[in-house]
Parts: sequence; C-alpha cells; structure tokens
Amino acid sequence: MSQNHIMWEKLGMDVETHDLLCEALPQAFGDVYLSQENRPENMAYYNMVVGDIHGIRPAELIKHQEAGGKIIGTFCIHVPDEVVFAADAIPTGLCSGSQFWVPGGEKYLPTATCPLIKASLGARFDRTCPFFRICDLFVGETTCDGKKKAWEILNEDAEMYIMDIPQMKRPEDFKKWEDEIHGYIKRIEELTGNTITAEKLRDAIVLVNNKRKALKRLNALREHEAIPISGRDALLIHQIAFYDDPARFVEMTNKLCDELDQRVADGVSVFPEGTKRILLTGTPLSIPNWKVHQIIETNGGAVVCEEMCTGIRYCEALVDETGTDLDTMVENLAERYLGHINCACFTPNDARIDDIIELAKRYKVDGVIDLNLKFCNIYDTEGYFVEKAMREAGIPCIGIETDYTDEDAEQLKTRIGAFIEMLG
Amino acid sequence: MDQQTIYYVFLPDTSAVMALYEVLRGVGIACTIAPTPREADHCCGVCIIYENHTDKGKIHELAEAHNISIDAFWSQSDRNDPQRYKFC
Ligand code: SF4
Ligand code: SF4
Repeated sequence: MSQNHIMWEKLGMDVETHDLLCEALPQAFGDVYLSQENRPENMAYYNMVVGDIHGIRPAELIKHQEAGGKIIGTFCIHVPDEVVFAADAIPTGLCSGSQFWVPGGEKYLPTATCPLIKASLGARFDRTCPFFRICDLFVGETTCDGKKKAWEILNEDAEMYIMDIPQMKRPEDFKKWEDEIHGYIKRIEELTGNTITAEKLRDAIVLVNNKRKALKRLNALREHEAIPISGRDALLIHQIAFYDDPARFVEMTNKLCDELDQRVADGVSVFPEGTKRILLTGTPLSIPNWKVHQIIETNGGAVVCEEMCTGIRYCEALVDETGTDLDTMVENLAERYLGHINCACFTPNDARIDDIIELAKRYKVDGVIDLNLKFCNIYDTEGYFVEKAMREAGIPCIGIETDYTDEDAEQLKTRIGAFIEMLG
Repeated sequence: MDQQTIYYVFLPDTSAVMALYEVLRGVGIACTIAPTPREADHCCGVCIIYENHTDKGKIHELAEAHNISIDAFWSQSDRNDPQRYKFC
C-alpha cells in the first residue's frame, strides 16, 4: 500500500471510490497539459503539485496538525486568509471543480444547485477528498442562496463558521464587514488558542500580498502580444494558489515568471500567429475544471485573462500594508475584501462591468466569453449587463452556460469555435 | 518530444521525483514531472517524463551518483489527445 493510501485510510476516506478519481486524472492532465507544445519548463512544479494533489499538500497539513496547528477550509475569496495565518493556522481553499463529486452532493441538494456547491458537499459526505477530511473548521459565507442553505446541511457533518457578507458596498456595509472580520479573528483565536497580534497580522498581510504580487506578475506577462504561457497553465497556477504553501508558491511562481520574462524578451509565444485573444469572465473555475480553457485553446483562441475568482479577482488588489494597529489592519482587510472583489452577489455591481472593459483593453482581447456555471442565478442574471456593456463598447461577446460534465463539450466546441472564427 | 512514444522514470515517492528532476535539469536533460499513467500501475502518483530515449543510461548513472533509487524505466505510446474533451 502506498503512503498516500495509508494516509487516506487514516483520514477515514472511501479509498476504493477515491481511487476512481485518481485513475481519471493522469489522462485528463495528459490531454490538457502534456499535449501542449513548448510549455515553460518551470511548469514542472505545478505538474507535480496537481499530479499528487491528494498526497503532497494533505500530508503537509496533517504534519501541521500533529504539531498542534489547525487547518481551516474556505469556499470563497471574500474570507481573509490573513486571519488564519496570523493565528499560526493554515487556510485551504475547498471549492471543488470535478463532476466526480456532484452526484454525492445531489443526494443532499436540489439538482438545480450550481455544480460547485454540489461538488463541495459531495466531496465531504462521500469521503472522497482528503482536504474535506482534514479541516478542523469550515468557513462558509452568505454570498449566494445556494451556498447559504448548503452550509446548514454541511453543518450536520462538519464544524462550520459562517461570515455574513453584506450585499451592498455602502459605508455601513464596510463597517459591518469589519465587524465580521473581528468576529472571525475571535473564532480563530478560540480554535487555535493563539492570540492574533498586530505584528502577526501584519506578517500575514505581507505573506498573502506576496502571493498576489507573484500572480499579478504572471498575469501581466500575458498582456504581451507574444503570449509566453497558455491560459490553461495560468489557470492551473491560480487554482493551485488556493491551497499550496504560500511561501513556496511565491518562490516557484517568481521562478516561472523569470523564465517567461526571457520568453517575452525573445518574442516567444506558445500560440501560432493569428490566435484570437479571449477574456473569460464569470463564475469560478475550481481545480480540476479545465474544460472551457481547453475548448477555447484547441479551437483558435488563447485565454489571456480571467475576470474570475480563479483569476484577476483573486490577486489584483493588495491589502494596504501600512496599518500598525489591529483595528486599522482590519479596516484595510475590509476595504480590500469587500471593496475590491466585484462578485455578482453585490447589488449594484457596475464595478465588475468597468473591470471587464478595462481588462479587455489592457489585455488587447479580440473577444469576451461570459461563462456561467449552470444554476448560478446571480452571474446568469448579471450576464444581461455584461453582454449589453460589451455591445456598447464594441467588444464581441458570447454567453456560455456549462457544468462539470463532458456531455456538452462538442456543443461548446461548435459554439466557441464559431465565435472565434467570427472574430476574423 | 518524440511524437510516438513517451519515456518515463518511476521513483518511490515525490521527494525522490523532485530530487532527480532537479539533478536532470541541472545537466540540461529535457524532462518534466507528470502524474503517473494509470496503465503503469506504479504506486507513486507522480513520475518523470524525459524527451530523448537516448538519455536513459545517463539518467540511470546520475540517479546512482546522487543516491536516488529508481523503481523502473517505462514507456508507452503517446495517448494524449487534446481534442478528446474528457475531463476528471
Ligand atoms: S464568485 Fe463570489 S461567491 Fe463565488 S468565490 Fe467568487 S466572490 Fe465568492
Ligand atoms: S458559482 Fe454562483 S451559485 Fe455557485 S457558489 Fe458561486 S455564486 Fe453561488
């Protein structure tokens, strides 16, 4: 029995069923990643992390627990990781991007629930994801109705803490989010037995900002005419950022960016001339959801930017590092985590539309694809404004709705292929 | 990379994979890390892929020189298909 199998058994996982997921990964990874031409050498690190996705990082998290540390699972980029790091605990992103977990979630949730939520519950209840076994606490939020209700069901099986996110961005909402962050600090202190001091929180702010800076550097390299890295690779890196060790991630991502700098200097592109530059906007693409990127990039397009939570929204804005006392730091966290994430859960959400237009210009895109996970009502509805604004700005745009299954791949290929062809 | 065949090195665990990968890159052998193919039936989830089969002897020597134990060399025809559209 492999070391991983021993670990999974100890975690109480359904190892036999989980093996089926492990068996599907190498071929899917080979098709999407190893079939690419001229990938940057430094992608090897990310290949390894995803290749042993349920081995390397879970083992590190368990080691942290054995030394008395706690692990906190989160589902949304509004929840500040800094609070967790400041208490010497480790946060890990838990959004699930595989169809493998969806039927398990459907045992508890209505079919008309977004696959991201269904997969999250399925992964926990079916005991087929080590991250969902390891966490000492799960932190949910009240961003959308689907999640809000799902947390109550998850709470029957797991310890949950819920953050109540405002739905607007008025001054009183920022105040409210500050209070929520103070509450979160208290809960994490209770759980860990560690006090979150100003010094600790400041170090955590710098640590997480460094991760954002590395991702911003990576994304800026995709602005160039010669695109040094595929959208699929960039997506994979963003997905891994959610759960990898932050200091190591920063080191490896900067190393990759050094290689990409050289490619830019040499005018090296991973795409043939004439490839259409696509901006993808919409709902998050959690690991291992690579479907739409793969379809775009095998049909004449290159994804150069993701206006998504697994993209720009995760890393673009930094937290102000100048705060010296705890209250100011919390204020700065609230400013960043409420003010600079333009999720469709807010009303109004004009800033997202402005972002898309600005990014379309900055990344010199030929077209925008507005991607919506099936049954995500808020992004689907906001698609009205996205498409209207793109029409007015003269930017070609299509809306695509999909889920985690492979069944619509051919249909998506036809639609996306026709859209890219139309871009001339 | 050879269009027809992919060449693999299997090692006991991820730290051995990482260690050998660093050694190989250090001497300029074209290689990367990848998930171990299901057909290989090898217990470690990741392995090394190298581009030129002529590097096999050198990889063997380098591993020995650095005290890294190799479980097996392996190869199979390239089955990666970017248009398969089957995900996990
Ligand atoms: S889309 Fe909204 S709710 Fe979902 S992770 Fe992003 S910010 Fe959170
Ligand atoms: S994609 Fe939409 S429905 Fe799904 S969790 Fe995010 S906001 Fe909720």
